[in-house]
Amino acid sequence: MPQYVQDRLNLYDAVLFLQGLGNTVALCLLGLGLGTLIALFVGLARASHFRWLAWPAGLYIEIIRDSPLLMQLYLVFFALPLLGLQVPIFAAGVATLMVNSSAFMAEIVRAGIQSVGKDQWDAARGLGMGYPQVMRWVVMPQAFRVMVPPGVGLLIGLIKDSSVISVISYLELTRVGQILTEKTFLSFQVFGIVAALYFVLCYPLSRLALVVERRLKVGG
Amino acid sequence: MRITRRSLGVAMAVGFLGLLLWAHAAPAGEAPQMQDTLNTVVKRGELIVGTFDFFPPWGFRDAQNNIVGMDVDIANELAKELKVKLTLVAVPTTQDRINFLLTGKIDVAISNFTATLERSKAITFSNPYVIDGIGVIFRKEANIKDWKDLGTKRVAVTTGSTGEILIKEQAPKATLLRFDQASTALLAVQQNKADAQIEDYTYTVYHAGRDKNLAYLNKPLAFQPYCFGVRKFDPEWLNYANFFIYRLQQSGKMKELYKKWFGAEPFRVSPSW
Amino acid sequence: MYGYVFQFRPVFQELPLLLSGALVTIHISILTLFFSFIVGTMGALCRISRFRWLNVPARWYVEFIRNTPLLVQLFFIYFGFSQINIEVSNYMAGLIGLVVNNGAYLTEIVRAGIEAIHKGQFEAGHSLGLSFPQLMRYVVFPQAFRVIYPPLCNQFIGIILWSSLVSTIAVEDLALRGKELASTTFRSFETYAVVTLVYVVMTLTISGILKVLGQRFFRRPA
Repeated sequence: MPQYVQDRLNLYDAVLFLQGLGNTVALCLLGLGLGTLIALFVGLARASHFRWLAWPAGLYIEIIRDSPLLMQLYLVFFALPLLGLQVPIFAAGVATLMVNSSAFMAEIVRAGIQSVGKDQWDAARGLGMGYPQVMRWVVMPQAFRVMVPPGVGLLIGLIKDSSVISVISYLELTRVGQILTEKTFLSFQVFGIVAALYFVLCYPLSRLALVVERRLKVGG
Repeated sequence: MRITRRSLGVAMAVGFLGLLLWAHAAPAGEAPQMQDTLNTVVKRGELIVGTFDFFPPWGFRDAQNNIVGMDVDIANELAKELKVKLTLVAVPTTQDRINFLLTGKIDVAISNFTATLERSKAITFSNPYVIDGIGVIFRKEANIKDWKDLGTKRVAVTTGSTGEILIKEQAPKATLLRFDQASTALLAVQQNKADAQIEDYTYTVYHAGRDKNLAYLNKPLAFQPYCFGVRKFDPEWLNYANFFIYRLQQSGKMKELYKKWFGAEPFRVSPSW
Repeated sequence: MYGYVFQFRPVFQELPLLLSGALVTIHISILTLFFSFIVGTMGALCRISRFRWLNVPARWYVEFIRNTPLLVQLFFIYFGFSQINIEVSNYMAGLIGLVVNNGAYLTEIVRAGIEAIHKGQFEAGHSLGLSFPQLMRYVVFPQAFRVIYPPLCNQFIGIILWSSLVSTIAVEDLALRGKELASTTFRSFETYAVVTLVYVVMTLTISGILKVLGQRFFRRPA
């Protein structure tokens, strides 16, 4: 009978590592991108003066921030189909990261908007600008500056959090680690490589965040 | 304006109580929808099968990291019969087979799936395609001669598996270590975090053969059928699966596959086991 | 839909089981907070130290932990160390993993707290003849703690939520009980909805209590 006993990692495994790495990046970029789009609306609502906008937005943000990502993933992957919405594996991963990051990003957006001084508002209004124009030309560009450093921090956090998506069998980096450990039982080496690959993704980004922060501060 | 944490906490509490009340209100019986997976698969041109990728020789990864195994070969036969493409989904844990099936992620579960009455409440099983038993694999030092010897030892089991239920009957005083997957449970035995593992008999034979520090108990209990798992209210698909299995066995293909992976004759599939 | 009827009753019947898991979650979270605070303090002292042999490794530790996922760290500790023959139980592995992970974040939090203290305090302390440990204990820490407290509370909430990952290495916390319940009742949605609710209630309650405590202890204006 065929028996596959693998004592060490081979070239195919190296390819699998790279595949996992690529999938992780795809998952996170898509998740954060879509999440930011949602966050723009939620953050605006949260910063709004209207209670009927701000309160539901706040509820949305709090529930997501105060529950574990693992549970959010299970709900998206296993619960939505029961309500009629079929979600394939990759989409479920993206959707979970999208929803999760949208809550944290919304707070960043809110802080960004609220960091723009009231005098800016008044001046713009004084010039006869309507609300959308004030947002588009005056507030958001300034808020953006405040939002970028924590935004990059969120991306780094998301890359690490994406490791949880391994539980729904999506072939991202941590899942590759599980598969290869099951095959070779070389957990030390395999997870060591996995950790190193995550580090290679995250560390440069964290340095970048520092540089960006400094640059934007100097800009004034 | 401020959204106090307290107001949200109150909202939570209210939500919780609401759910509680809903739970106690008698659930109205909804008319369940009939499924037609057979036509869906044919129309789609693709069969999605759930297997394991960590459970040799039923479903595991080879050197090129492709999923291979007995169940995979059977899935290939099924796809060939249906004249569609085969897509394998590596279900991560034992429990996920049912979860993935119920939520439509897979069309059928072919993953050394033991049919039990309990599981039959949630999904439907086909006729058996292989008969297996439950065995014990242990480190040689533990010197297990019988199920009773498991007494108070540390036993690794997979959550939601048939072995987990059996060990509670056979050796209720044993310390149970639960794992999501059989492979992590096996790793625990190899690393001496557990003395023995309860798993399907063919699994124990296979792995004891691979690792000279391990041995298996030659006294399988609770002979159990491996069946395809399909959703409820899906009669056409179930009939197709049953006929497919019958043809597979009748034509000798099943015996041929079993010999290929286990090097032995399969147990006889008949009610008199 | 797949012939599904929502039934919450089987889940609510097993609420005691879930709550026993919640107890384990809280237990491991408190222990983690305690030990990682110790680790964090030691790390912070290393980070502000003049000695490069203390400063640099501490920095590597923090950077490595903060740029790799907790799940991978847990797997690494649980399986990897056994490969080089170090025995760990799953609870211990979970605890060590959480402590090592949070220790890095706490190092930065405590360091920020210490550095927030006006340099004049250090000088005054020195001129009064206080030794370094005395300086730390009587002058720096009481003041630093006020700065540390809010991020520390946040970190604790994070610990509670992320402790759910120890369920992947077979620790019987709330998440694992939820998984077990979902498999025995075959009601994934209902189970996970309830478990999520329990986590949220735990988190909001604890953060509320911590906030109130903070207001009572730090009543003096900064």
